Amino acid sequence: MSNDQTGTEEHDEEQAPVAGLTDDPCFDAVNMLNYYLDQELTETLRLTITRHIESCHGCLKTYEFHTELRTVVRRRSVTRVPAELRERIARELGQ
Amino acid sequence: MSRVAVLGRGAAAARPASTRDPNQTLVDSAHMADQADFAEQAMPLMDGLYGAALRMTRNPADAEDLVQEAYFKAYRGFGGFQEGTNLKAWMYRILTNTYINIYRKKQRRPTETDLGEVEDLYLYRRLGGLEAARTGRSAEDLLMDTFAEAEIVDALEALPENYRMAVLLADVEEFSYKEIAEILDVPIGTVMSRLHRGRKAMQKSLFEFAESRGLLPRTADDGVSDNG
Repeated sequence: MSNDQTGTEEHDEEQAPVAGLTDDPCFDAVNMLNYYLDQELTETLRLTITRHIESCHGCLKTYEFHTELRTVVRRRSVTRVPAELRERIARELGQ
Repeated sequence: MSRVAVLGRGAAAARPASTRDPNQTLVDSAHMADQADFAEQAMPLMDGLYGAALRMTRNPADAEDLVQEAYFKAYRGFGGFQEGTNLKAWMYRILTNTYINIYRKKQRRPTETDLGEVEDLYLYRRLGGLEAARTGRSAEDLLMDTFAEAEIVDALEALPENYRMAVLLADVEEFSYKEIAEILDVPIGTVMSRLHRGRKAMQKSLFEFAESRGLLPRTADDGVSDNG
């Protein structure tokens, strides 16, 4: 991916979705997907979405996919600090 | 509309009782106790901090220097760390500030790069239809098979710095929005906005890397919709 430098002027960052309910439960589920997975929703909203995805196959699939994507990103990012660096810092800290 | 409420994730564990050496002078013994506590509590965080440093600097030699410098700074400043607060978040904040001080001095201009527009559910719209019915694999297998460490690392490192840090702290280190706001010293709304855009951009990179490296299942073309 290349960083497109054509738009150089400073502008406000795109706003994140607003957490809240509309009359479209599927829209709400997708709209708040990241907040749900991040465990940042109020209990009421979390329960509302849980109930919806338990009864809506399409939204359940969407949630499963993104849950797995998070897992893959996290698992593939596990890094071990080089032993030599760990020992050097431990020594400096008097351990 | 209701606002997103931050749940109390990641409450800091109580610090262990300090073990003071009665032979030390008063001032020294207080200092020594703190520093013994520091090593005990901070050493287990090093794998995660090194991983974060690698993603920030994008190279192992700089990452090692950064981690070492952050530990020494934290060690010296541990007296100012408030008991009962979150040591992990405090360490990541020191790491982040150290990184900014050392590496951003070199390039004085702000690093707020335009990410461009990416549709919501970018990856799901392209890969979501490929599981089970088409390839006989679960979403988990499909994603694990498609994205190896190289693709995840490259996609994360392709993000402009502000977005990269937010995504890293949330998706890899699993900090709460409130903690990320404190680590990066920005409002929570900014954290949410950077996560929103950064995750979409990362999904686009993941897809493009996988596509260009021939990693997508052969049925991939059937799954691409023309909606975006």
